Amino acid sequence: MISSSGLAPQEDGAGGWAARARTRRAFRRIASLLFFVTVSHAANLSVVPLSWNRSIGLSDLQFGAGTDFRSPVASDVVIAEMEISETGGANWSLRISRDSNAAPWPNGVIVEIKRSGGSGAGVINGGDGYQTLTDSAQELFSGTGDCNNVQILLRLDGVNVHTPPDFYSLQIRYEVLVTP
Amino acid sequence: MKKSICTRHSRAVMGAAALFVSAGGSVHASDTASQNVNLTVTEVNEISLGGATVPLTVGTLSAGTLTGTIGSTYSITTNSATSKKITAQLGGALTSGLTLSTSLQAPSTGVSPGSPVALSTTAVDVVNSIEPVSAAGLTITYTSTATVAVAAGVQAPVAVTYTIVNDS
Repeated sequence: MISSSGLAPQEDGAGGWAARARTRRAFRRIASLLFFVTVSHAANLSVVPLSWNRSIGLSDLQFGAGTDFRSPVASDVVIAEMEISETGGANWSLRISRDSNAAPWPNGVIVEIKRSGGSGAGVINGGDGYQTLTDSAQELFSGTGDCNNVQILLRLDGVNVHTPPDFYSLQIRYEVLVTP
Repeated sequence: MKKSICTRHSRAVMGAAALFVSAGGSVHASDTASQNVNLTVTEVNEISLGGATVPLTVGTLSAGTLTGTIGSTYSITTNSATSKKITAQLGGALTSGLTLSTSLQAPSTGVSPGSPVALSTTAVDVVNSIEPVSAAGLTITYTSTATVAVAAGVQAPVAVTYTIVNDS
């Protein structure tokens, strides 16, 4: 049987054995390469607290009766402190996304995230401008080596009188990716 | 032909190697953490009046009755998922021979009765079917009448209370 790819096993004499030997050697090289990849550094990411709560009500109206809620309704609020450790001095990228499995979230209400501060032996680049949280992971900032006291700030916008009174929740997913 | 097959094998192997090498460049060690953002939106039903005191003079004779009219304003914000209405009622009885009516401009999401509503110490509807809205500077028109039995120069202060309640 010959497969459509033309790579079906074929008994073809001494030349075929030589070819298979070369193939085996090539696969060993690949196995070595894969091993090399799997021993790269795995950084540790710590984020506290695990939740942030905000209640929006009468005190959030712009100027009392006759006006809507402030826009943004919250800004430059520190919602988390982050530590990136065990990087082995490697380069890394901090990515954020919204967990699509979380509870319903009101239409039009936007969560934006940015970074502030950061200390430690490492270096941090970027993240000082707000980025809208979406279902797709996106880089918020990057760096090299271990960093701590990284503050995550939130801006909440889009809440208005047409946002039904209710409890809403979403989950921010932070991921630190170490680049080999 | 044999060489061709061998070559295809080698190409396949090298292709796989290239694929793995390529994957090696994009395989990253990672760690993740999650944080919940919890948002509670509470119900807001707020109304305010343009002026604490509205001086209304009754002095125009019309069809045998003295009348007077004056305007004021109000503002409203509601985010309720339940339809609301505004009621109005007097804080006390009017001096005998006097009447007081009010007419409120409805916000864009509400309905006004269409004609002045006579006020008494019992709450009456002055705007109905209000859906979520924020509106400022909506007009209130007060109309008062007095019979000739009411002595000239009498001052009859009365409080009018407006309340947002569920529209049933």
